[in-house]
Amino acid sequence: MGEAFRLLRTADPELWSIIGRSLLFSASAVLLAAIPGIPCGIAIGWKPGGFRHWLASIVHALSAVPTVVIGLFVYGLLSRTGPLGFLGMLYTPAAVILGQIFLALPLLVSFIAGGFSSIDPRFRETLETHAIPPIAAFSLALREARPMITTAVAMAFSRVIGEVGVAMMLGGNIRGLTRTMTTAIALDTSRGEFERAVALGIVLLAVALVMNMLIHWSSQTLPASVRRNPQ
Amino acid sequence: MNRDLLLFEIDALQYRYGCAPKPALALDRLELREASCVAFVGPNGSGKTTLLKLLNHLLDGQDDPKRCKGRIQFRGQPFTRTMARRHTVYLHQHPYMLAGTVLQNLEICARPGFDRHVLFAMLERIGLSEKKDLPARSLSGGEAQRLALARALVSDREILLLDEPTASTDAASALRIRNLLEELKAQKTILFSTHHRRFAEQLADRIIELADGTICNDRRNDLVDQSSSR
Repeated sequence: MGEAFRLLRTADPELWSIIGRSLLFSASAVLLAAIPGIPCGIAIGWKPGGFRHWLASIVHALSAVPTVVIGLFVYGLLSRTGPLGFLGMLYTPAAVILGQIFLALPLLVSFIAGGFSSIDPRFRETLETHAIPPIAAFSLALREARPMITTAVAMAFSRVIGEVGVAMMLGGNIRGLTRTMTTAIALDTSRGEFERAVALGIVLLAVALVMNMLIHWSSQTLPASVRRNPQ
Repeated sequence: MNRDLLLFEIDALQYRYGCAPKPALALDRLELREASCVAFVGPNGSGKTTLLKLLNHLLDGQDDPKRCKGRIQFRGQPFTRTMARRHTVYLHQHPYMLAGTVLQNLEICARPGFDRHVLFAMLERIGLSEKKDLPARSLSGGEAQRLALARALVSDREILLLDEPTASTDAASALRIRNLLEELKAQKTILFSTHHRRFAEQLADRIIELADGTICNDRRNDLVDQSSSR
């Protein structure tokens, strides 16, 4: 444990490059997933019922797919014989990020849709009755849904940074290129080099703690926005 | 506006929420005329809100024949969502304040091309000009009700559907709202629901009583005044 803290304190270059890469991959994947994820989540949660209910159920089920299954699916797409094999993306950072997008997207959509469907129905009715144009309505919906979007992004980031299946299968754990915290921990543990594994574990724990605090904080602000408009 | 012209013609209208066994509203026939001021009076659950929302095409399943049966004609044509958005605006019993300031709430709801000076004049008219830069969600119930009415006015529709416009207001706010509606009667068609018979008698020229989703009494207000003074 002491050696692990020493590695963190002395700014071991390889250790910190792994940490930086993990954060970069995860942040990129979540941001790219948020571009379609947020509008899709709002659209599904806008008016619950009908086909949207089925869509929400499907997306919710997809958010529970094991990471290795997603890794396998994207591997099939990117492998040399796969439909996207000509891109030569396998075992590159782009492949890891692509896999992590598939991991984050259903979680984002599912959580935002679920949260948005529980927003006071008078919000939607107010926009409808005043015939607010779609772009202005979307911007108001974003403001209204900000706490749940923050929570969804934090949850997606937590899931992505802590996963090992996608990063291992699509990145190949290549030193200096696709090695992330989780794949490095797996490798170091198998080699018996526990110091660096523990140091990375401490960083992962710290990230998980910060993300959970963010989720807790944003979920605290969620009912407040609704309380200000009593029924 | 010609007061003799028919605005809405409702025939055999039934609406039920979700899988409810009994319809929330079941009207055999109802005619509403242009430029009228009609009050819908009745206890909770009598169908007042449902009727007003149907006249704004705001309810889920309004196009689903399993949930909504019957016919609504608007100026002689089948009533559509587009017509509802163009001609009517609905005010909740407890209005929802959008995020942002009082002025921003007005700006968001104003019909495109509305002059900013008109918005300021509207705030003056409803007595909220000094609070224009405050968050709309910090307003009291009565102030929120007035702001919601102002939002409806700047959205510039000729038919106002007001659900309990004086709910959660104090006497001063209620009086201000009544005076404002009194002024608007000459320019707009006003259809409103209320629990307060006295308020209905002061404002409406026709009072329709609802109970269990059906009309149990429909009379001109002068008759109501005579009967109440007897």
